[in-house]
Amino acid sequence: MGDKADVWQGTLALMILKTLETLGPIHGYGIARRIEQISGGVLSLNYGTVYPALLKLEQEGSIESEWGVSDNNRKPKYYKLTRAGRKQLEREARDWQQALSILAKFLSAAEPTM
Amino acid sequence: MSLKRSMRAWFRRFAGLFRRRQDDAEFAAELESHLGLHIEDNLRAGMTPEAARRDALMKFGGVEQTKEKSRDMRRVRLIETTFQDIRLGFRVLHKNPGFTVVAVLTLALGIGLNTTLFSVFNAVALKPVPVRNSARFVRLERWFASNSLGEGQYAFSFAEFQSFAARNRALSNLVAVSFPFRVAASLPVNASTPFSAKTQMGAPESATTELVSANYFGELGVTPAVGRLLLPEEGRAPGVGPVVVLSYSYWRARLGGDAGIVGRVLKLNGTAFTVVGVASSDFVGTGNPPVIPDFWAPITMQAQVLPGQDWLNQPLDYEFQLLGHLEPAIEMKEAGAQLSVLEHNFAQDHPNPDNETTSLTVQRATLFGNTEDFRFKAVVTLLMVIVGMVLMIACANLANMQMAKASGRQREIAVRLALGAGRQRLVRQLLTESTLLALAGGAAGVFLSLWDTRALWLVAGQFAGPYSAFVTQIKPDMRVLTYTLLLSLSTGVFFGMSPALQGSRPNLTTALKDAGTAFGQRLDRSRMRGLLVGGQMALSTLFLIVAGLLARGMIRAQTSDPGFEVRTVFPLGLLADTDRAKGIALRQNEIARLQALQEIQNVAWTDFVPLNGTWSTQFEPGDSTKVDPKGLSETLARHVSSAFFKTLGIPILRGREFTQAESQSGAAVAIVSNALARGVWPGEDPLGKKIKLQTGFGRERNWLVFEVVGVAGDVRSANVSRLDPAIIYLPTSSKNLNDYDALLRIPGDPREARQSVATLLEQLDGRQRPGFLLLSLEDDAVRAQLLMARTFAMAALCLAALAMLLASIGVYGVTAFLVSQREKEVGIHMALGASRSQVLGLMLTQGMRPVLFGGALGLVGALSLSGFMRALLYFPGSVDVLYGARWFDPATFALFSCLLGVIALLACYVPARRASRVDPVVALRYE
Repeated sequence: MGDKADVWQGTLALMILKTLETLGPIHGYGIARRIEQISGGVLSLNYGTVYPALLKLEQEGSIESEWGVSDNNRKPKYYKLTRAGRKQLEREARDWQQALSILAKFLSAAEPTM
Repeated sequence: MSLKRSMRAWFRRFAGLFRRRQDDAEFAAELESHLGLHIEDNLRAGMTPEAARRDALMKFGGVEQTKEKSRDMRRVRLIETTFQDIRLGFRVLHKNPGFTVVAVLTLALGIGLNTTLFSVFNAVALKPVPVRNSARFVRLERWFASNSLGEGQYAFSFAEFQSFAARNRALSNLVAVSFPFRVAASLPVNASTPFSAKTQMGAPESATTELVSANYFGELGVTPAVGRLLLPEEGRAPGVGPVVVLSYSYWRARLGGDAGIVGRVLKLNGTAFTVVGVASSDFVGTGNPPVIPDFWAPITMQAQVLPGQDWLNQPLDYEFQLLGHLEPAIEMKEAGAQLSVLEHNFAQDHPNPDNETTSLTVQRATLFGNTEDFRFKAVVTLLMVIVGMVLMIACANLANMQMAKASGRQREIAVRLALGAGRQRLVRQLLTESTLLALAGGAAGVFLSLWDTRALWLVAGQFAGPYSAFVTQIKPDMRVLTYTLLLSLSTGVFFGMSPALQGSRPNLTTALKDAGTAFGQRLDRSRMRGLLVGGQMALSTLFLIVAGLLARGMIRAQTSDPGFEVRTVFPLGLLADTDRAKGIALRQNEIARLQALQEIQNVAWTDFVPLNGTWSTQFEPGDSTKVDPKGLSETLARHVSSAFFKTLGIPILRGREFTQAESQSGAAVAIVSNALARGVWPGEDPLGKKIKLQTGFGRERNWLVFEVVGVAGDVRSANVSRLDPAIIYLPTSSKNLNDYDALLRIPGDPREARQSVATLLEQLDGRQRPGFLLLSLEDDAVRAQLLMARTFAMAALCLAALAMLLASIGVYGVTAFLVSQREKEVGIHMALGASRSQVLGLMLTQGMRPVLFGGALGLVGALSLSGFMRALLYFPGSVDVLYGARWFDPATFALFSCLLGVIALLACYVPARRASRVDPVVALRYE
């Protein structure tokens, strides 16, 4: 687990950004739920870890937040993407895809055809 | 990009410092709503309220950890904890006043020395001269095709000045100032009467003058303290404007700050000048060299101030420095390029085939000229390294003391580590403490350096004359303060790092069990520590003994007597001519006329003026043609004319002086000193003996035989520090007259004699000599040599005192460390029945071991240095800095080693006594 943490940290931010792009303004709980669903339950996510990641993104100016009112009078904080966040998402998604395709090619070429 | 993002994040975190309570509450609310939403979902999915809540909490992970983590992220943890650390640091230092005082003093010393050196460097090389808009004030520098460097690079002719001033577009206003030179200034005897041809003028005194262009003061933004400065018309044409401006310091010192001086007349080199005003007190001239002149006169008065010179009409006579303010849009490089073109054009009309100028540059005008010179840089670097080392030693000593303290606090630290304090946090806290100390030391160091730069300057002034332009410049400015601040901070980290790292790394279990400190931690570093203290002791023993010896020498120097007449003997360089035969004729005439002057009792001539050098050579008694290398001895030698002994009052003990004929022909006769005669022919009559002597230099080197015709009394003619061990006088020869200097014996008032000698010389070669001075041997050589002795001794004493102080702090630190390490061991000793004095003895033995070792080493060093210095005396011309005191003086050696021993013992005793007061019950309570 320990050595996965770094990758996890980086990807969590990306997942949050993607979630916000897809769903529009949403609260922390919704984001955590969404990530769990999308991963099809493969990721066991502590919902609490979403909040430091949200805080970091907000400090960096990728997302912004405001207090809202939910259906049953709760007062959750809603997050939404900023322009900078959208750009960041595009760039990071591209980088990841590139990295993944390279890795995929690499793995499929791993069996030498001699 | 990512930098911008992280900058934004940091900014928010800083902002977070000021709204932490609100942020905390908001975050709690957000988490609360999160859990609420989750529980509702769970309820909807059919869970019981209890299960829904448990599931939500479990899915979330740690609520408190999340809060803590986000709290850390929301603000800058560092700043908050730093404030805490500083508060704690102050408390700790306050509780240990003794340690704090010693540490601050040590650091003040180390940092103060570094600051002093830096402020001198700053004043010399970095600070611009204090004039209007000094940042853009530049000095012109020329570069020669011959690559010759130095003062000459800053010198320009008057024609160049006029040419550049008319055409240049790079500088707003070019000013010219000559290098300072000496003039004979006479002030009116009675300043209150108006000047007339009959006004009685006082005796001329030597004073410093600079010639300046009429726009000098205006362009520099100088204001008058009294009267006015120069007017434009006073620089219009040669000979107009016989006025002078006085410097503030001259006005105060020489004229008592009399405001009535304006409008009075004084004479510079015989020409009457009217005083128009006094420059303001903060104007110290434009430096290079950093002298405040006594007078400023208009450049156009050159012929009157310096008769016999023609600076204004010689386009290649480089006498002036050119300075000016850069035009607003012009940078230095461009200004240099433009001026180079002007210089090139000038050279078309006035070529200088001997020393062609390739280009001009401008550099910021500082008090000293050539600070880019590598020799200057080398000296500065060397000094920096030395004072840097002093600071390093101070740091090492403090690190030891810190270590002693840290090991006393090991239990406290272990508890804090066990309770979860991060190691980093602990290190930071300990470092904060040492940095606080270093800052306090730095502040004290600034005060110390304020004081010692002044002292340093007074000492330097003794040698270099009134270079007082510095004193006003040496005040610390922002640059010096920044330097000191940075130095203090890094010092704090430097001496705090090692104790902090060590102190925060105890083995948790052993430290808590309290077994580790006493026996577990072997003193693996104690050897290192012992070496440090031993080294310091060795150095300070060496310094102290040498300083003691030098001090004895200094005392003896005050009463040392050359043994011949110095007060009434004046050396005089004889006239010269490029043609050898003409020169000899000229000199013969000059000597004859000098002998005829009634103020002069005797005239002698010699190849080396006494106390200003001799030559040394080898000789052998006997006249055999073969030279036996084993029989050779070293001797000093001097060619003297027949009147030499009479002029200097050196007694002829046996035999006779040279005759006039002998000193014309250079006959093969010699007069030897009494010491030489006794050494070579003990118990025999030296008169009539033959000696073989190597004379001449280079190709003229030759063995010649001389017959001893006289024995002269022993005197100190090579230098005033000791009797000449052996000297042979040979007669002068008129065919070498060009090589000799004259010695005049003037028993009466030297001022009258000076006048008649100056007149005589004027008659001989037609040159006027307004600033002509005669300095007696005493004023010239003797005084300088005694001053040298005094300065040596003082410098050595200061160094020794500093070394001693540092060494005793070092001893204290190490003993304190030992004591704190062995507290429990002492407790056991005492519990088993050791008495307090036994414990004290044990600790003292431990603490004094490196002291004794280092002291012994220092003694050996001092002995060898003494031996070396004494061996140097083998050369007959070398200076005996002890002035005849013994190099192996047992009293000095014993006294200073004991003094140092006692001081070290005291430094050791203070912490050792603490060990003897250990209460065994307390020390062993945890065992």
